[in-house]
Amino acid sequence: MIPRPHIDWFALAPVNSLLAASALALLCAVLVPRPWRKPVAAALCGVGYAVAIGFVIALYVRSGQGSGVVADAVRRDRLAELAGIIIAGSGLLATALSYGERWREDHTGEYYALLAAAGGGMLFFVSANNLLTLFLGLEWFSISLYILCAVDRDRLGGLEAALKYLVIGGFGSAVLLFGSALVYGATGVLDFAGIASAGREHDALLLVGLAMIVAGLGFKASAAPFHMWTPDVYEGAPTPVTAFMAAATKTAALVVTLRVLVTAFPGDAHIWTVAVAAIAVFSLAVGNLAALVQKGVKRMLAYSSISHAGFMLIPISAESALGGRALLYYLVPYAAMSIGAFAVVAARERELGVPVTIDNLAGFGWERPLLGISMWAFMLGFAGFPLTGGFVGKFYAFAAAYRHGWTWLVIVGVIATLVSLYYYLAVIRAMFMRRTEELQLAGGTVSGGSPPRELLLQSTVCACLVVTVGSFFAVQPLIDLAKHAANGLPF
Amino acid sequence: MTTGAWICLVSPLVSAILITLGGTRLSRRTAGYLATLACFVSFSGALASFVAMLGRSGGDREVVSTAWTWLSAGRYSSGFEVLVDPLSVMMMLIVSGVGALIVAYSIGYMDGDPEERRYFAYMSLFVFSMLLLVQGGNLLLLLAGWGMVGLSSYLLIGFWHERPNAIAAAKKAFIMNAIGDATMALAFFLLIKQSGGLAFGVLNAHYSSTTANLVALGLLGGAVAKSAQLPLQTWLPDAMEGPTPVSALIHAATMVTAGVYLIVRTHAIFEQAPKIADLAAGLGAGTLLLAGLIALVQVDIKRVIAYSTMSQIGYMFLGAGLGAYANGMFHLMTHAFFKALLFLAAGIVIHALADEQDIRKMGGLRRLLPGTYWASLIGSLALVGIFPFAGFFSKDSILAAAMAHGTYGYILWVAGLTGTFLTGLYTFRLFFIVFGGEPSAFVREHFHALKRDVVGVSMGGTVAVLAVLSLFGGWIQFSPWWHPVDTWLRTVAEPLVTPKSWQEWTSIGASLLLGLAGIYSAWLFYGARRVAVPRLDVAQRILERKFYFDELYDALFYIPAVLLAKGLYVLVEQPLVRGSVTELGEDARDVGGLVARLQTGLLRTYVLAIATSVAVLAIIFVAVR
Amino acid sequence: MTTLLIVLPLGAALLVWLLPLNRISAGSLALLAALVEVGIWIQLLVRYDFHRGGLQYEQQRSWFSDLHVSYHVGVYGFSVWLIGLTVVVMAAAIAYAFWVGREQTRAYMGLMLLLTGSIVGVFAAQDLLLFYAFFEAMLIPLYVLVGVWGGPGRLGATLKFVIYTMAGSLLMLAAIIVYGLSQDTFDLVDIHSSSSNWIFLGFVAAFAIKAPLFPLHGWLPDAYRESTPEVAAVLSGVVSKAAAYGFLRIAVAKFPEPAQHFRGFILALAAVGLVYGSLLAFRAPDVRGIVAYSSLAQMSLITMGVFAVNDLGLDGSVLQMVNHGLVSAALFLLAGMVERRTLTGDLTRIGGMARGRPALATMLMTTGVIALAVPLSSAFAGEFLILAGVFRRGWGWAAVGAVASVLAAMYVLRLVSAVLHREVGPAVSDAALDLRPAELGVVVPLVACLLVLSAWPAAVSGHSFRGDRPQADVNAQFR
Repeated sequence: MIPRPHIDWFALAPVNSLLAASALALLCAVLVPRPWRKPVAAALCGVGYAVAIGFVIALYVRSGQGSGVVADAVRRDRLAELAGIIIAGSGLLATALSYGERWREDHTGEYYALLAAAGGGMLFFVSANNLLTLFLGLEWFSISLYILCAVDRDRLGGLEAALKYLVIGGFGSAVLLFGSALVYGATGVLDFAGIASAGREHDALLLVGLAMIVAGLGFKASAAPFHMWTPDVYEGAPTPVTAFMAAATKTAALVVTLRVLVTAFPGDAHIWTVAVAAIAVFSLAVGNLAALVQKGVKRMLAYSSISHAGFMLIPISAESALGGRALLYYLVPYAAMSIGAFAVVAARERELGVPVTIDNLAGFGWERPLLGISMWAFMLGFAGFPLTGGFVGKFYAFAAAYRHGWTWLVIVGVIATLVSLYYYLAVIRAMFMRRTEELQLAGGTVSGGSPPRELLLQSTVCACLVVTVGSFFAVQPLIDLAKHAANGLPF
Repeated sequence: MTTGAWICLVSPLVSAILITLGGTRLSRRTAGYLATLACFVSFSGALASFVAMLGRSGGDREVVSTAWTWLSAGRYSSGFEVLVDPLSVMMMLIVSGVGALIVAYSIGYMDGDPEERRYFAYMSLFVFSMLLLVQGGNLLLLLAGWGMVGLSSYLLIGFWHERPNAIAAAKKAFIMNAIGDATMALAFFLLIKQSGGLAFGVLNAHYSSTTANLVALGLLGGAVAKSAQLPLQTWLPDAMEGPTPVSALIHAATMVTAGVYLIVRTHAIFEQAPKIADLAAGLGAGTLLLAGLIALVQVDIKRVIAYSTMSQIGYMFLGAGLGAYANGMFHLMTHAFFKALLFLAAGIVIHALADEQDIRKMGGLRRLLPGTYWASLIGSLALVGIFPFAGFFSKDSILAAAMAHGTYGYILWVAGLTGTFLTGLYTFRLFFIVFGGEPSAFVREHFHALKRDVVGVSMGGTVAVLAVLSLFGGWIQFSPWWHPVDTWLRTVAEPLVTPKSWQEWTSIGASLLLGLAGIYSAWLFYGARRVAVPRLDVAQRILERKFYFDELYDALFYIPAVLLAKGLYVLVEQPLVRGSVTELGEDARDVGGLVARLQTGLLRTYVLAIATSVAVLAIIFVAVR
Repeated sequence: MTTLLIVLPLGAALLVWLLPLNRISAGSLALLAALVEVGIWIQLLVRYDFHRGGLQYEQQRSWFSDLHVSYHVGVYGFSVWLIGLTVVVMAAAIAYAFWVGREQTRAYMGLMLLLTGSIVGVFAAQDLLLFYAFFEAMLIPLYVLVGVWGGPGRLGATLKFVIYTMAGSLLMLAAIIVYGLSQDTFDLVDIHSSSSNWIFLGFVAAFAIKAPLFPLHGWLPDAYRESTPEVAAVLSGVVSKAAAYGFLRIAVAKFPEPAQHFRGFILALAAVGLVYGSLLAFRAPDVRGIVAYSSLAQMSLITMGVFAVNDLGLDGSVLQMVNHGLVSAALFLLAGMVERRTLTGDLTRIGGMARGRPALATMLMTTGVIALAVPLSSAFAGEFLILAGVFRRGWGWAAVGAVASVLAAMYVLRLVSAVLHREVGPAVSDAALDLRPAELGVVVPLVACLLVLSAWPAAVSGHSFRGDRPQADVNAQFR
């Protein structure tokens, strides 16, 4: 008779609400008549996310100091809840974004079900408190994502992308799992605090395990050199899914990386800080340089997300409260910018019916000022210009690096930013400084005919715009949130 | 006293502004009248302060009146102020008086020119600037006026701006003067560094000989540039491209003599730097010979007079450099009268001959233009310095001063006398060619007399007045017996040399003889044509090319500058400065291409890459533990 | 009041963007906003207590506290003049753009207003990060203004411009982070002076590119040639002054030892740039080229004045900033007006425009002679002070300056007579009119300001810093 641990249902409420939404969406895929299927499923998914957000916020407020729940398998603290807010928010926006996608109506129910499930998995993932729950959450949302990538079967390269993601992702998960096993072997415990207190630093077995865990998480965060899958998958997946992955997956992976490294391996900080910094530099180099030559916007954004993985690993490598604040602050505008950018891409995609390249963005800014100006803001935000949160985020990241004594890392980041300007500005240039007439398309989709007006998509973009710009002015409140979240960690 | 000075300074500026703003609302004639009126007002202002000053004793004849702080920085500051003292009053009288006459003359001369208004606006601007120069209460304002006269001279030389020659000449004049301004500015910087200010007072302070020499040198640079002395003399002849009254006012009577004023005004510093002072005198002597020689072969009526101006200013420099300040200033005054007279007379000739300036086409105008004939005769005699004309009184006293200055002085004295002979020669060469003999074919064809309307009156009348001045203007000082000018200026600048009376009489006699000799030989060659003009081709060519100064300066400065500019553009700007960034961008893109090529799209590469990196990571971790 | 000066144009920009206005109303709204801005500035000028000097009309609100970054604005004596320059030039530029009628008027006007706000912000910011934010924010509208409405080569020009500028700015960001964190405050007033050469060089790099100093001016010719006249006017007239201001406010004031240590080097760069720019202006084939390179020379001169680090040099450089701002703005606008009539700036194809066009001739001639610093002009006053100041650091610098002043006479006269004089050029048709009243309305105020300054340059030079200070410590100015 195994003693049944006390279960803090409130702590699990966000996850459960999403699971419920997912289940209901699946049901309606069977029960609801075809014409109603899409709206109902989407509504269910959206509601699920909304409820989840509500719960997460409530949890953030109500869990001043962190505590382990459900037999210490799950951590209930503000770090998890803040990450949860970002993830659930991205999920909601992604849902709104997905609604306008034009694909065959037969799998919409499943699509939204999986979207909700993925979100749930991520929420569980970020609140994981031992290696087992960690791996569970990882697989949970990864598998949902594999399928989401493939959901649009008409999409050129969609299936290929999904397959690649599946195989490589499986490989990544295996690395993580093996690493966990080694750590367990070295320490005999699974929960992070226990690993820290096991006193087995510098043990070769533990270190190899640590290396593999870092690799596995870096894989999810699509940091170089574990980024290989990212461009193909981002390009092949349906744009809303890409947006969701870029925002939510990265958030989850980075937050968990922070948590694991800081709570479980403080003893080996002198090693992993350097390693993370190295990975950051590598990601910055690969992401920015490769992005320079991309024609396709989604692919370019994929590389930009790789380079941002680098930017956001910098504060982690600083291993300080300031670093934690920096990461958690940066994630907010970053998620908004990514979703917004992909949303704009989606809009153009639906307008033209072909993959969006830099060239066929020509004149877009003048045709649809709202989207144009928003895209302008997102690009400037990625490039770290003032008037967007991206600037403050970069500033904090560099500040953390400097406080850690790594001025060289600041310089690297600065140079990377300079390089990144080239391709971010290229988008603005295409949208505003090229005339529409320069655009050569078969059938001339653009000429004549009003572009599809999608309220949901436009409101999504507006929301992202508000967050992107607002986070520049309202730094203090966000930083306070981040501070409370980061204080949960043992720096 | 200062009120008069302010009126004198401001009224031309007012008329300039009014004419500019008035634009086409003013008739052309009105503009002319306005400018003339303004000049006469300012002359009366000058008179007023002159009279007021007569009432004062020598001590408190020097008043500075500050309107506002013009420029200030930290502890340095210079006011916008006028200095009223005997020297400035004298200059005010000359400038505004001669200026008024010449502006009045312009009404006739410029009659019918479509851009008369612009002309009179510029003229008023010039008179203002010149007055600012002579009245400026500190060195900075002096420099300001100095530059402004340069500007207005540029504007007026280039007045007929469709003529490329005129524009080129104007630019040349301006840039040469800019060089002078620059050297003066450098001198002032040194003064500021040494004494902290630019009030005239700082000149009296005692400086190390190096400082004094450098400052004096800088000032001298400005002086020679403005007064067209060696080595910056080349712009003056070209400046004759401007309208004749302009040449009379700016390039004969007032502006070009500013250098002399400058030396007298800043004599304190020159007295601390005797070498530079001697240099000034030497340059003067050199210029007067050079100009006299070149004048012998010129065929353009105005250029001949221009060269004579250069040589006369040479005399003034000679005097001022030797410390005979009063004599220099006195000569400046008389020269203003007779040189203006000569130019205006020439103007009438040119006017009467349909703007022809080549003397080879002229001749026999004596009967056609009797008045002008007499006027030019008076002017020429005054220029040569024949008793009892103005030049006689002023020039000879300078030569006497030279004698009183030791060996170096004697050298200059000889130069001066030679100059006198040359003066007589070239002046009357011009006179005989233009007026003597029978009317040439060209004259008979093109001649048309002056009408007795405003035009005629304004031109004829002015010339008459100036003739009278050139006739009697000199009598106010005859240095052997009475010298009010000396006493008048004594409070400002104590003369360094006092020639003994035998020196006075020797120079008078010598210069009279040589002058007459020059006239006689001119009569032989050009008047009676008894003797054929000797032909020395080499000398002829050298003189016609003005000793190749233009060519020299082009080769030394202008061409190198242009080449340097072109070279920098081709060698530095295009490849290095503007090319660099684009190339960097290209390189970055190439590297990016390589990186992107690693993205093969093949699963096996991806897995391999990840696996290896995991391995590497693990190994490093274990290694560094 | 300071905040109002910053916020008003931004708000107006939003209005212009959001309200569905037609071309006329959008333009007039923008112009109105610009004029109100000028009015507010006049208020500031009247109310500012020049005798007391120092920082006035201060406002401070915490932005994010854990790194001690705050929204802190205020004006010094010299900032008053620079802000005045900004609002006046921007008003003129907006008025001209309105009169020319740029397409996409709403976007254009909004961007111009945004630019106004950010430039004023640069001159008012008293917090390093805020300064940086405004400094970068200037770039956003400029990028689009040049890139969208510019000439045929605009894309290359903008890219070059932005990459150059950002390269410098990001170095400055790194410097700011290091400086601010090491001193644990980003407040420009409180922060102590530092002696770190590297931080100093980080700042200098940014400003040297923005100014620009030789040899970092690669972006300048294209940007000035390709952009619309009014944007070129703003670029060379106002934006470049932000760099000079940075030299003055940060590089010299906060880094006394490094500034002294690198003085020779920077003065040398400036001297080279002065002569180099003048020479290239002298051989430039078109009107804008001449003005562009002359602006390079002038900025070098101003830098000289700043790095003379004595009262003559500093006062002179502030005065010269204002002068050159007005002069180059007027010249670029005039160049634009000429190009509108001749459809080319090629000096060989224009000429003889003075005949029958008195207004154009007068304006160009007046601006030109002020540009070449003819004595009694305000530009002369500024140049005189700067050179007198740098003379104290060594006569050689002043000598170079004197040579450059002669070169300036050469290229300005070349410009003036190539446009106005000689025989009428092939590109000049008799139909080409004299300046229209509207154009006069744009240029005359600028020239009028210049003439007023010429009558009383001490207004600026004597009211920029607190009077009779010890020459040695300039930093006392900024406490």
